Formats: sequence, C-alpha cells, structure tokens
Amino acid sequence: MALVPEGLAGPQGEFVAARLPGGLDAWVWRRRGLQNRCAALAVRFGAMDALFEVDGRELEVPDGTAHFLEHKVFETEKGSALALFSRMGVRANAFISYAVTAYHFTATENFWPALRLLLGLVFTPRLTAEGVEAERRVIAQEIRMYEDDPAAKVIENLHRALYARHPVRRRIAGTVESISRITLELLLDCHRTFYHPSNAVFVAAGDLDPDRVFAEVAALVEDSGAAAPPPAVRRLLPPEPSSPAASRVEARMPVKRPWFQLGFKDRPPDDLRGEALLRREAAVSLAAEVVFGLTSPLRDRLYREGLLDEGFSHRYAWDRSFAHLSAGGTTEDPDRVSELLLEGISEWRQKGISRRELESKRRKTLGEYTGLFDSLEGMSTLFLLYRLKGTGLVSYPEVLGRVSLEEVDETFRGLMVPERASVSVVVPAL
Amino acid sequence: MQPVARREFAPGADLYILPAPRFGALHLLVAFRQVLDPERVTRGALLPRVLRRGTRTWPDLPSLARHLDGLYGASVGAAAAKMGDHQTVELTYSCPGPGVLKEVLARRAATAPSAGRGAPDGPSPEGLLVHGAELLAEMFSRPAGPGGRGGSPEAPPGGEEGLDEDYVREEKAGLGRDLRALADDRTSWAHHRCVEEMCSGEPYALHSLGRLPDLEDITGESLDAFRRELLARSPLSAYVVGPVDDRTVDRVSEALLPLAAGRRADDGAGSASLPASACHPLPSREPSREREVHEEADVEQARLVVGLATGTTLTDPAHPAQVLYNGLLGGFVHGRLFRRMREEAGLAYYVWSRVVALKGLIIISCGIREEDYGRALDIIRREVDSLARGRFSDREFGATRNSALAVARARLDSPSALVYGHLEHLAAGQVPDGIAPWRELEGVTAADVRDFARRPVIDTVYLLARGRRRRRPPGGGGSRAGGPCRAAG
Repeated sequence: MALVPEGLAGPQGEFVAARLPGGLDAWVWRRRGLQNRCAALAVRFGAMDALFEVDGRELEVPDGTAHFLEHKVFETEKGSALALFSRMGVRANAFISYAVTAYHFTATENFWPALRLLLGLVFTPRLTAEGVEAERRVIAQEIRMYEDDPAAKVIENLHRALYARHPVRRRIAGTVESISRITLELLLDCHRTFYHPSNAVFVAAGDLDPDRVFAEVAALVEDSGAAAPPPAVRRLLPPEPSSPAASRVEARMPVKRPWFQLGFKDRPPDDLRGEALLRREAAVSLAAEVVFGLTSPLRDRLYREGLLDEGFSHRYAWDRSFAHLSAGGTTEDPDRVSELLLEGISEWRQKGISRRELESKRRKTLGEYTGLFDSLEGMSTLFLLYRLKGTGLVSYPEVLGRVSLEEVDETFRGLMVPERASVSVVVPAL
Repeated sequence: MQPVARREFAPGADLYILPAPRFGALHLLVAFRQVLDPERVTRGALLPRVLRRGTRTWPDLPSLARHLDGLYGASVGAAAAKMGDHQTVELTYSCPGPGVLKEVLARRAATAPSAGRGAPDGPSPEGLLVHGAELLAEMFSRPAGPGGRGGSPEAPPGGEEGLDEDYVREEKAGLGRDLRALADDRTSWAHHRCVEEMCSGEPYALHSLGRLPDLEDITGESLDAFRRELLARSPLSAYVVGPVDDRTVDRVSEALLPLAAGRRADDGAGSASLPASACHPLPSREPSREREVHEEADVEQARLVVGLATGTTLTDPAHPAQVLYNGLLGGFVHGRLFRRMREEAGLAYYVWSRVVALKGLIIISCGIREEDYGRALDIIRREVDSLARGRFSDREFGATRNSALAVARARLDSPSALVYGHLEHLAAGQVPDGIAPWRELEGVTAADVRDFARRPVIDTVYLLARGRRRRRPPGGGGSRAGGPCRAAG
C-alpha cells in the first residue's frame, strides 16, 4: 500500500491524501466538531459516457444506462442496500451527472460498518436479472416525475440547443423507451469498464483518523479484487462545432408560468490542466456574477419590469469536453426577456467590466467559499467532483486572487455574445 | 446539547443565542409571529418581499447587494412561513465567521500579494455580524420610502413616511405570479391541496403565500400599517447561531433595538405570546369521516397524498413515540412504505411520510401511475392497519430507533434545523433552554409505539391525476371525487 499523506490546509481542518491499491485517489478531510461523519465514492462514468471502446470493442449504450447502474449498485442479496444503511441509522444516497456517478453516506454512529458496505457495493456488483426488471418500473416512475418538471425540461432542452452532437444532449435518466433496452449484461459490462479504483475518487470527512480510513479502504479494495489491472478504455466523442446547434428551442407543457434559459457555449477546457481549470471557472463565474448577479442594473431593470423573478440564477457547467454558461428562471415572456438580456449585455460590452465590479465580486466569492466548509456532505461531494474534473478546490482562495481584470473582461467579451447563445423556453401548452 | 440563552430586549421581543464555535459561518434570523388568519396571511407573505427591496440607507436591490458583497458575500433572505397555526414573517442574514475569514484572507495575502489591488479596505471580520443585525433592523424599521426611495434622512425610526409604492406594486405582481403558478410544482401542490381539504376551516388550510384574491386590495398604506402593527405587537424572536462571543452578542442585541422601539409594556405587547397552535381534531372512526378528493390535471405522473390525523402534537408526551411510528411507516427507506411500494411492488420512485408536529398530522406522499392508484392506496391502508395492530418486529423497531436518533443528533450540525426546531417549540407554547431532541427518543419503548399506533386515522385521501381511468373510491363515506380542474394547465 502506497500511503503518501499530503497535507492541504482548508479553513476547517486539513485534507490528507493517499494513493491506494488499484490507483484509487483517496482523501480524508479532518473536519472536527460535527456530529456527522461521511464518506463518498465517485466514479468517472456519467450520462455522457454512452459511446466507448473497451479492450478494442466498441460499445454504444442506451440513454439512461449510467443512471440505471446507479440504482442497481444498491442491490444486494439481502434487499436494497439503502435499507441496510438505514437500519444502521445511516443515511445513504447516490447521484449522477453527465460525467460522474457518486455514492455517499452520512452517519453519526456505525461509520465503519457503513464504510465497508459502501466499498463493497461499488466495487462488487450483485446485480440480478430479476432485480433489473423490478428496477425498470421504479425508474419509469422517476422519469415520469421529471417529465412533469418544467425546470428540468428547460435545462435539458438548452443542452440540445447548444450542442449538435456532444452526448451532454442525452437524457440523464433516459426515456421509458430507452431504459427498456437496458439489460443485465450491459450493466455488468459498464461496471467492468468504469467502476475501477483508478477511475474513482474517495473522500471521508469528519472527526476521523486518516491512517485508519486509508487502511480500511485499501484492505476493502484488495479484498474485492478490484485492484486488478484496469481495462483499456477510450471514450469516443463526436466532433462538436464551436457554435450552438440552434438559437432557440421550445417545449410546450401544461404549466401556468413559462421558463427560460439563456446559454452561452464556451470552448471546452480540454487543453487546460489543474489550477488553470479552476482559474477559467473563476473568471467565467466572476464575469457572470457582475452581469447576472443581484448588483446588476440590467437584472434590476428586468426584475422591475416583471420579466425576471426572484429565482433568476446563473451557472457555469463544465467538464473536460464541454462548457457553457447559462442563466434563467421563470418569466412572463421568455423571448422578450432573452432578447432584452442579450441587448443589455451588448450595451454593457461597450464599457466592459470595471475594477470596482470585479473586486466586489472577488470579495463576495471569497466569503461564500468559507461557508462551504460548514456542510460536511456538501463540501465532500463538491471536493470529489472537482478532483474528477482534474482540479481541486482547496486552493480556490489563491486562484481567485490571481484572476486578473483583463482575464475577466476578455471572458465576458468573448463568451457572452449572440453568436454563442441559445435560448431554451418552456411555454404553457394551449 | 446545544445551549440556548435568552435575552429579552423589549416586552415580547427576545434574542436567543446559540453559541456554536463548531460552525465557520454566522447566522441571524429575525421572525415576527402572527396567527395564521385569512385577513392577514397575504400581507404577511407580501411584506418580506417588499422589505427585501431596500432600506433608507440602501434604497434599491443593486445598492443593497453591493453592500452585502462588501460584507464578504453576506446574504439576506426574506420569507413568510407556516408554522402550525402561526405564520412567521422573517428576515435572515448569514456571513462568514471571523475565524475562517481571517484564515483565508491571510492565506491569500501570503500567496497572492497582488490580489485585491484597487479594492477598498474590507470591513473587519469581527464586525460582519453586527452589520447584519443593523441591516435587518433597518429593513424592518426603516424600509425604502416613497419619493426618491431613500426618503428623508431624518425620517424617524418608525418609518413614518411609509413604503415605496412602486416596490409594493412590483412585489404584488411578483407574488401574484407565484400564487398563480403554485400548481406547476405538482408534488408540492398535491401536498398543499390535501392539507387544504383536510384542515378546511382551520387556519392551517391557508397557504404560506396567502390568497390571490386578497392581493389586489393591498395598498402601500395598508401594508405599512401592517408592518407597524407587527413591530408594535407581534411576538418577535431573533436568533444568532455560530461562533459568537459575549461582546458580539451585546452589540447584536443593541443593533436589533430599533425593532422593538415602538413597544410599550402597557399596550399589549408585553403579553404578546400567541395562543399555541391547535391540534387537528381526530375524525371519528365510526362512521368514518374519511374523504377522498380527486382532481384532474395533465400530469405524466399521478400524485397521491394521504393525510392521517394523530391527535398528537409536539407537547404531547406521546410525541416521541409518534416520531418512531412515522419512521416505521414511511420516515426512512427501511420503513414499510418504501419497502412495500418501491422495493416490492415497484409502484413508486418516491414515497415518504412526514410528521406535522404542531398539528398532529402525518402526511404520506408518493408519485405513481394512475392505474396503480387502487394498489397503492391498499398498501398504505394495509400498513397503517398493520402498525395499528402492533405488528412490527424488534428488528424494525431497533433500526427505526437508530435512524431517528441519528437524525436527531445530526440537527446539531445544521444551524437552520436548530433555529426552526426551536421556533417550532415557541409555536407550541414552550421555551426550551437547550436543544437535544435525541434525549426524548432514547426512552421510547416498542410498547410506547404500539400504544401510539392505535391513534392515527386516515382523514383525507387526495389524488391528482389525468382522470381518464377514475376508479370508484373504495370504502369510506363522504367521498368527494371529482371537483374542479384546478391544477390543469
């Protein structure tokens, strides 16, 4: 076992790292003073990993496959592992994004048995054909729940407008039709391909002894046989044009109030590594805060005209192969508000972003960053996601300090332009 | 245990202090409480929205937001919430605590000396909480006034000049949009409709955002009169949570004084405690008062909500047993409902039950295929009945106890769970001086839960569905199937 502790000081306790068997990237965040302890294990396999080559064989999977596997990892011979955790008084769950599937639990008691259960589930699948059939019905209900949700629909459609071919177009949970094509063999294939320690990150957080955590996890990985050499995997991504696929996409739903998202397609950061990735994110987020945040006169004007609601918010979504900024919420007139936002931004471009605006947002972002460390689960999962993206969060204050006015202003001028924009709207069905 | 110290800073106005060095951030909450009442609920919902728009010193949203950015990303929230038969009208403030903030500032200065060049000097990390208390006090007592928004600088602390009419008009429109769109969130709408039917005629039937038809008649003047009345008479509970010392608490307490400036001990404010929230009456079992309400909407997934009356509120000695009963039924994923409906029958993705402790209700909620309505309801009835007969194993009981204790202990990790948990006790007429919710659960026995399990009665069954295959409602008198197409798009 190669135990190479590496100290990174956070504002609330240090982060200690080790490289464990099979190449597992493992961390312990020694956050003291809280009742809870938690652990999370994430693999780099998400909804966009739908076409790949494994050991020379090409495989394309139906939409919703990674999500289906996320459900089935909890299957055990003793029933659902969710209930096994729950009987110990431990709350466990999982989530999935385009790039990542993560499993996590939070415990006040029984941390160690829960840790053993978690590792066993993720690295040793116990899927059965009957279990897969039963889960299909449950997932169909989950899909129907999303189909009633305009907030989910408007984001999903934005991806379809921004991207012509990139798999971020795919539906994370799939459709009732696509999940009907998912088989036990396919799920096992995906597990073998992606659920390898070298493709995963582990973090435990709370008042914990890192040596003991690393020793337990290392032994569990060894015992599961997961440390065997990984398969040779190559993700196949279709070439993606730099401009959006469509400038507008519309869905009709039986809702009273329309929704909109205005998106700007960014260059994928596939040429950036480590801190440069974080710096790019900081630059885009700072620019977006200036333009779309609560201090923005543009936002204030549209709010006062009744075109933007309180819930208007923005987000920079990215992974190695895609990136876009989006802003939206509910509105009375999705087309009018998108048009006025684009017009307002184009007027703003004349003056650009000022030093005063940047420093104000820099201070805000720094303060908000310190608040993340009060949420054990929230910070742990965020930490995992950033590790899997190929960067880290602990150096964020330093990175934030290094971003220059020129960088933020150039980001604003280059990204928030009509040629990069798509609008997704959900309007009430007649 | 989380200790809670209390300081009365005026008659009917208390500051509760929850010192918690384990947190990095600091939190303030200022809540006025009033009885949920059709006449007042809509103004209660509108007022915080208007107050959030600005004050005499920071008269509009952008200037207020710039002020907050300067306070290291401090945030302000404004809301109206339902707490049993009470409504809280509240403002919140959160900011970084001095310890964590100084640490990141020092680190950034050491590694990036050029950072923040050209930035004005930041406020002292120790002062952020006091700035927040001043801000919340000003938002309530000196809101942005008419004419030039800032009003006149010498305006008295009572805010004699009233509210900005534009802000009132804009926020009335915004609240109206929210109220008209409530049914767009199918799950929470179905939940609200079930409660509304079940508690028809009780204050708890009201939505925390109020009533659409009442909005129109609200004027800047009537809303301002409402604000003054809150300030003068309504019980005020302020909370501070996080890494605080006595000196900071003194300064916070002083900064909040304008909130109580209009109070006098002799005008009724001194006895300002509200009547405690009342328990929903238990329906008679024979003949059953159980009602079924079916409504139509164009939904992909049908939403089934079942309301049980338990006759057991927060102050009832059987309440801890109620918490464990709910855990056995549907409070946890090892509970009966999740196991039977999701794991065994595959009928639902989500299914849970939740206790409304101030009203003595347990609400069950799930999303299903419409054609599975009968099966789902049968399962729910069967499990309620099985628990009523005391049929649960020691293993189920032990697992539920473990989970309930873990949830109760974990409340210490959440500032908002601490504050709202304490407020809930105030609404029940109690003033706890510490928070240790696991203690009352530790002593509950399986026999206690069996005793309690005979109490819950199914009161109302609500279904939101397309209605193409309406089933004849099984059993239960007083069925009111059908009804207006309230949630249709």
